Amino acid sequence: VSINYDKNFIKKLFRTKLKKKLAAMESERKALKNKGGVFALTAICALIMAIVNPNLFFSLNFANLDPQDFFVLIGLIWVALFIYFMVQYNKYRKKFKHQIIKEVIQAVLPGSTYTPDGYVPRSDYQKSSFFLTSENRFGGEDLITHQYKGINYQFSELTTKKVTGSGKNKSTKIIFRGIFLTCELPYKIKYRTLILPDLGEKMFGRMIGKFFQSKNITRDELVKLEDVDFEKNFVVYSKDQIEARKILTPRMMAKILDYDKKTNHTIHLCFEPGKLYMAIPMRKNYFEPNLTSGIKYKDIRDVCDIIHTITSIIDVLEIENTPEK
Amino acid sequence: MSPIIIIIAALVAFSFLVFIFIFNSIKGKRNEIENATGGIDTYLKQRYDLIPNLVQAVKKYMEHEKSLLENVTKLRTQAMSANPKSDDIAQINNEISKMLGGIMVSVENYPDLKSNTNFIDLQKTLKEVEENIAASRRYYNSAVTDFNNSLDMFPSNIVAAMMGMKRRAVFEAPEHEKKNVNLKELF
Repeated sequence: VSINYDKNFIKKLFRTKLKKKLAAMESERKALKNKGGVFALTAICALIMAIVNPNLFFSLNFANLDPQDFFVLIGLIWVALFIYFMVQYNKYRKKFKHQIIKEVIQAVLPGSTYTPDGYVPRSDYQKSSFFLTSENRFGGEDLITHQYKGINYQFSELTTKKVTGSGKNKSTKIIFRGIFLTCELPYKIKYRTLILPDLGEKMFGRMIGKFFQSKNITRDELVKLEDVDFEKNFVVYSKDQIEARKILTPRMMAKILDYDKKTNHTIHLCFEPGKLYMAIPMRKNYFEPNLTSGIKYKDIRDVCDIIHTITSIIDVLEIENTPEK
Repeated sequence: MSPIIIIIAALVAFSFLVFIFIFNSIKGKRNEIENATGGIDTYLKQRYDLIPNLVQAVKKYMEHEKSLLENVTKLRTQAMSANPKSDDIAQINNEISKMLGGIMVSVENYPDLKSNTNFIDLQKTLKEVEENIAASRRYYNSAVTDFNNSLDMFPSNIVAAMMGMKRRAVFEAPEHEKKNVNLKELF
């Protein structure tokens, strides 16, 4: 099963299939955009009024109602209309994902399955051990499952958080937001090899950064590699120095570095016995409808680009070429 | 006790702690070299054990490469009887690598041999062992570089001199391996 990633193919897909579907959804989008605008505007006006002159709220008299009751009533109507708007928006969003995103994904990744509400299992996220802070909120969407060159893999958007305290003391820390990939690994490996962005070296310089990394008791042994560029960008931990170097051959390091530069995001990789995990933190949500300006060719192209970026890791790491398969 | 004495005592205690820390760190680095050397030896031993099986499997087919097979067997015997710490051993192992590479290239001329299951298994194991040797040599080089750096840098160089530590040589890839780098695949 191949990956269809070609500029002309995507253009043709947009012209022949997506444009019509998007046009049919256009009136719905515009109506939602206007409603959303009204809600945003009324909310902003109310907020400004409350800040500038709170007494104004209570000086108004409408239909002989008590000013407080009047504003409670207005508030309730506003909330009810907002809920109605959100229901409409979710319907549109669902339609967009089923009709547009699904079409794009199945065209780019033939034979794939797309679950808009699905996400990679929490156990995979935890096994990767990319992030030391333990999460107590875990969620995601847009799960894509596919087989490429005989390798089964899946990826989705994930958001993990740690929420502490309650009420006024409540604080939320986002641990990870981005795309998480889990892929079967036919390598015969015994231990985990973790490749993380080298924040220590960037913050404290090579010598001090390496010193702290080598003393990091929360991770396995630090693996110092000979590729200076790779070392500047990544830090590698493993229980087995030789196995880590078997995975990270000089050629592989060059390829991962090149991949990291091309993605424009900081990649995290974890080789586990039987599994490969990759996390790419990113803020942009690529699989959502754009209410303000509608979906253009460039947005579809961006979706294809991100799918290609994620799936190309299988080519980069040459997972299918392992003799031990 | 006067403050000066307290300061001097604190400085001496601090220097002593730093000394212990550097001393242990250098010892740790030296042990890492030993560990890496052990890794290389293990995989070289695996390769020595594999050679007779390989020669046995291919000699029926490779009549024209008889001398190559004899040489690799001879080198194996030399390597096994040589002192593992001698300078010659690296040269012998490089020669073995070169010859095994030669055998694998010659196999291309023997389609029957190429499809032989026993040979395919041996080839796979040999490739794995070669990969392990390459990885353990890289580990060794990394450990030696780390150790040599602590012998060159201040203040660890003072402690290392007191300990009588000497620089170690890194493993250099043989010329034929350097030539085989495929730049096209890298860029």
